[in-house]
Amino acid sequence: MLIKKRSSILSVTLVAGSLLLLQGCSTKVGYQDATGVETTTIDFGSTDLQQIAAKMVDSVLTFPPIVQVTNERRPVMFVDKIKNKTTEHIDTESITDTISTRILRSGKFRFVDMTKVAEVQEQLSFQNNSGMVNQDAAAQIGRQIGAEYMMYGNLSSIVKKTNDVKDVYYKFTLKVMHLESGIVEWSDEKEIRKQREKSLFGM
Amino acid sequence: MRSPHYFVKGFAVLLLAASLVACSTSGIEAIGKPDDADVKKHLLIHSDALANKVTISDMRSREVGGLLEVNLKLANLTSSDKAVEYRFSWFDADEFEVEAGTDAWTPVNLHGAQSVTVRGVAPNGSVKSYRLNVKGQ
Repeated sequence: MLIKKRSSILSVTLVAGSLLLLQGCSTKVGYQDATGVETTTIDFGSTDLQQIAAKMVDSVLTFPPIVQVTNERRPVMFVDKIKNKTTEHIDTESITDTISTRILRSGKFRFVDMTKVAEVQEQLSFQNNSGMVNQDAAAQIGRQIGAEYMMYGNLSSIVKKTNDVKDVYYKFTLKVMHLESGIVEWSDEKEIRKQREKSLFGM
Repeated sequence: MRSPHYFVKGFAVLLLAASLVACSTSGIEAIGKPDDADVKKHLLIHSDALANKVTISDMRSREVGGLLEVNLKLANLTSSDKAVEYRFSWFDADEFEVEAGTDAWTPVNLHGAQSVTVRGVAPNGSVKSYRLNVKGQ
């Protein structure tokens, strides 16, 4: 009787285990929360980008001299490239896109987009010189507003690894310079450290 | 020679452990308005397991350049390290969420008995209240 009972427990457990293993082999696609913490690999990821953007936006918008300026008007800023000094391929434009979008949506700054100068020039030329656009409704050349501030920065990393552990340290530095005077009005840093350890079975 | 029953037990324990690891914890949330900082009145506990280990206190807020800035203290009540995630949500005067889905979950590692201050700044000047959600990793 006891042997029979044990044998049935053994069968049920083995079937459950096999099902679990089979499930582990199947492919499954599902939507995930884009704002959730992502730790798929140790490489630069969405959570790092979001943490950097949040820290930088909060910092620049609450820095007293910047608050003083933005209380009076909405200054115009342009975003220069972020220099990627890490060994990884990281789309730094994506980081500045997130930062500039959030700053713009705060209503404190306005931006000029230097990546679109050629297209704007072509469109203005079309409106003013092609003879196809009613000149009363054409956007006039030479009336754009120049940027007062420039945003720029660096992303660097230190990577260390042993057979079992890989440690990555990222440092993102962002600055805002007043273009006319050349004075850096604001600067801040965000540090992120991640570590990957090999599990017991080396997986 | 060990009996098959011994291995079955071991296998069952492993399965249970695997299923527990797969479960994530939902957490606790604090709702704050600048004119009412009584955290005890506005602390919602969704997980007793997490609330026994981590707590939110010292909700402070002020206006900086027309934006609501808030500080809250996250404290680890246990003596061991605890990894949690937090996220702010922001609401206007009509309780509509402002810039929904913009703020991301931020991971934070709390050492044993450690407390850290988490800071949030409202995305724009229309924000009148906020919510901080905390969940276990």
